[in-house]
Amino acid sequence: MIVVSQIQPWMTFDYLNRNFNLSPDYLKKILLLSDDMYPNITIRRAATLQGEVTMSFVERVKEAIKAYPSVTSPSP
Amino acid sequence: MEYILSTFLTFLLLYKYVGLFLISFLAALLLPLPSSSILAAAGAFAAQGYFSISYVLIAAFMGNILGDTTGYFLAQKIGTTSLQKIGFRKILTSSLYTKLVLYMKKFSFSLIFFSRFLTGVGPLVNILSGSTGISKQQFFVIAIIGEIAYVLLYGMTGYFLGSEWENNIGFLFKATLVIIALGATISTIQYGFFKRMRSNQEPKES
Repeated sequence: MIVVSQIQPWMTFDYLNRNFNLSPDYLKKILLLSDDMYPNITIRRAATLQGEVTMSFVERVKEAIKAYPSVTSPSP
Repeated sequence: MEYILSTFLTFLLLYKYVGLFLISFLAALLLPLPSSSILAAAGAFAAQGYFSISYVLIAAFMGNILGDTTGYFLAQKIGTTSLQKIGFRKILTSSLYTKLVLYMKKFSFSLIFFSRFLTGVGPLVNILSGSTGISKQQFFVIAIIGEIAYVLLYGMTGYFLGSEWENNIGFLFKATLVIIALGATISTIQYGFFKRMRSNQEPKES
């Protein structure tokens, strides 16, 4: 299992959803993603489509995952 | 390097078992792709519960064996006669090539088996096996045994390392180091085999 701080731009939303046990549409709704390819799209690609800088988008993804009720402090 | 590895990891996450199969196939055929690292990464994703380890091993095995046999049959079909016609006559009639053919025939088992673990060498051995007339039954049986061992070794290395990875790309570097160490060990074993067989044969020849 990876922890929130290890999230990288090359990861897909499908991988993140499975890794953090998120509900399938949680990140799509909170990050306002509209791409039909979701969740099989990388963070980098989603950032480009949203017109955002990749690393700041990665930070938004991290914050969204931390805010998810079942994701608590990083496990060792 | 990091960008290349992350591109392959994305490809693996997007296309899963089909992606692993394709990378394994192309690397076994001829392309210089980091298939061992990607197999280890797939094993790590399996340790995280994202992939099934059984499917990872099957996809990698199928890709590798298909790549091996395609390389072998292409070399067998093209053959040395055709290569001589397109400008390789000097190389193919040289004493070095003759020695190489003899070496291939004498040590075919250890060469084919151990080269499965060295992704850069495997495709060349497949081509040489096809062009130097090693029988397809012999090649296929040794390649299957070798690929089973290779896939289990690298896939399970990733599986066991993956449960404790600290950093995704860092994990791949760590896995690559383990793979290089395994490759060096295997090359040493291969060299030992070669020396032992050679010393066994020398008294008979004299």
